[in-house]
Amino acid sequence: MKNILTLSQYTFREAMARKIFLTFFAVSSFVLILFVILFVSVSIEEMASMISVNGNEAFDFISKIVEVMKIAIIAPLFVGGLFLSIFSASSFIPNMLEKGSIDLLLSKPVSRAQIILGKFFGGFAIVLLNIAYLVVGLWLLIGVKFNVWDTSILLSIVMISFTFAVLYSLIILVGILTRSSILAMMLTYIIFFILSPVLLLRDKISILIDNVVVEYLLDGLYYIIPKTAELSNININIAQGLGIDEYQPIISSFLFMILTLALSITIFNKKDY
Amino acid sequence: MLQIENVSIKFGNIEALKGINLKVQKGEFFGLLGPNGAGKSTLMKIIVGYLKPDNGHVIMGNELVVYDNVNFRRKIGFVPQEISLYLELSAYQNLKIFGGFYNIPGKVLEEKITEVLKLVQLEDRKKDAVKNFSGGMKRRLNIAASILHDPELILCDEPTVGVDPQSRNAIFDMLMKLNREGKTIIYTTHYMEEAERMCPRLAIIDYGQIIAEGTLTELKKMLERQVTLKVLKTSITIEKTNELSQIGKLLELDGHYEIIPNEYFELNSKLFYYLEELGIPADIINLSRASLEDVFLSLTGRSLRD
Repeated sequence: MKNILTLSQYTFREAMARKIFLTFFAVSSFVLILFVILFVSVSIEEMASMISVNGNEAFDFISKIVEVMKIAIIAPLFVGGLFLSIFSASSFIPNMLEKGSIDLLLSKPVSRAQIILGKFFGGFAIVLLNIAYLVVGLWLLIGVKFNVWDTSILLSIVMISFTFAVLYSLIILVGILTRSSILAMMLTYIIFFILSPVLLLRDKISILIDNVVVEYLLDGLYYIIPKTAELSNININIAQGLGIDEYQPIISSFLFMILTLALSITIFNKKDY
Repeated sequence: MLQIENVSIKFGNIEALKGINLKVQKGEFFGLLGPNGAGKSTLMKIIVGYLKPDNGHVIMGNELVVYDNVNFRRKIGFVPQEISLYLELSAYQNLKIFGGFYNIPGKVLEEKITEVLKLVQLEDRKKDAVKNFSGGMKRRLNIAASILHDPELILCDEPTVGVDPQSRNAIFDMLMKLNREGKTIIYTTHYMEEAERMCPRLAIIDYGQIIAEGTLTELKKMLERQVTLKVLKTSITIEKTNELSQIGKLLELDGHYEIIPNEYFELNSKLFYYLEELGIPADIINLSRASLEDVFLSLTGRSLRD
């Protein structure tokens, strides 16, 4: 356990030392600053009086604004946050496997499983920190501006970080197999932006194509590939305080992550460096 | 200390190591000399235990080196060929991270970091980012990261590649100091000058095979010629050809004579006294001793740098 912690710290520091994570942090700060400017320049009370609402109506009006704002923030945050996180983390494994780095690491008293898990938790920790910074920042700004302290938005931290962890396990596997950060990044983006949203519509596609083989293929792919599109919808729902109506995407994505990590460790154990 | 018995490994169709047998004694500074691609690094990785040989085994002390035996690695300090440091982090931060793998208690680790930084002469640069270090400084820190845990055996895989002469000397001094303190060192290189300077005993490896092993003297004794005398062709030496042939086997080449002295003249004092008696001026004489390069050339028919 100590070795995993050391390796996580090692990955964390490596990430912090890279400009890409500072950029991520800067983008988050920029978004927060934009909201500060927006909130300072627009007075909700004035807006409420302009459309002649008062009392309970004013309260409903503010609640509605906050709800709309949460959706407007959370959906792009999920996509944008994960886009940047995947981009930042895709080079962790190929960099580690470079000659020299891997030699020194493998000569240390750490098992290969610990190396993979250390890389996994280290990468996860830094993304968690960045996402938490942005979401907590937005929550504070909304709370101060509208005096609405709804903690459901904070659950986005868990959901976005979880989705990243699932995709990061794939980045690790592709990194070990190919040592290519570009390939790891591209494949993850394809799943995130294309495959998962398309497979969510597999029933409609099956009706259009009307082919049993294609239907089975789409079904098979749907259950194998992480369900990031559905995780995005769950994220929006929980941020609105609506809860989770279906756990299947979470459970199957979690299983994907565990199996992918196990496969990564197995392959890494068998490879010569 | 270390026994390598019949170790072989293949990568595809290429036999990287072919039945390597070696013994290294405790406290020894042992050299492994060979050209690039000879199998030196592969052998190092097998000793560390992160590459599994197809045949044979390695024994350290009384313990069989098992592939991926994590605890065994606490006894070994491996200095890889490439710089493997976090360039954005400071020297101190790098050592702190690498020390973290050895369960060294915090205070002891701090002391060890100070100690190794002093040894590699980077004490005053410990807070500086490694990216601002020279190649030689990075190499020294690379070594520091490998010896932080006080290993019994230090494996250095060409640690001076791309290093300036000053840093190279600093690395030599540092390794010799560690050896004097009782550390066993295995040092791989393709620079024969380094092997001659650093390693009292060494093995020459080529195409995955140990082709010679012994002390420097033993290896050089394998050569027919230990010393070669070159004398320029001048009116004096042409006149004294018969006398010169008394020294040993004389070959007449373009512009000079090459003489391989016989046993009697192997001693320099006798040779120079005789040449002086013949009235041959010292500035037309060149005496060269056999080097490891010559040993390698005679064993393989090619130069180490080929």
